[in-house]
Amino acid sequence: MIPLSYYLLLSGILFACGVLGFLIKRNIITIFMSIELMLNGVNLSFVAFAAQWHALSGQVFVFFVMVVAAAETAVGLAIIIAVYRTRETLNVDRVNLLKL
Amino acid sequence: MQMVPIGALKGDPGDIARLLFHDFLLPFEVTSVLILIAIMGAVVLASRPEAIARPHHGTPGPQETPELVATGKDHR
Repeated sequence: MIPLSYYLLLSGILFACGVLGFLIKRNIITIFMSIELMLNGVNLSFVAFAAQWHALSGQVFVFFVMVVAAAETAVGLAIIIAVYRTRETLNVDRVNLLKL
Repeated sequence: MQMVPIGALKGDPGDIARLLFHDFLLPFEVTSVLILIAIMGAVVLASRPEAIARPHHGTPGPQETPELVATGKDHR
């Protein structure tokens, strides 16, 4: 039996790693992975609380979060492809204009 | 509050399915619309511009569709 605080600590670490990667990294795909890391840290927190309080709706919430993350990933990767076609770079510092 | 040890949860798939397909039925259906819109958006965004402009000319030759379409000056 693992206490709830361990799950929450791991969730916070995952979320902090996501925030740090989002702020530090300059590659679009790495930033994207950081966003996924933040979402999954929140998912872990959801599941931990659902198991702690016998509330299964938390697990169903995690399903919805996963689905929305998948849709966001599909659209985001398509946007990355479009950006790379026009800019020929994936550095966000060079993608600072909405219109070429 | 009564603290229940993690791992003692009676969360069999039947309960989760009852939640997902009965209590959360409307969000489930809305999610399908969301996925459909995401698929269409991804296809439109990732397709080449010529494929959208001339959809009835079949697959254009390789000389007409360069792999990287560089338009305008880039700000490097």
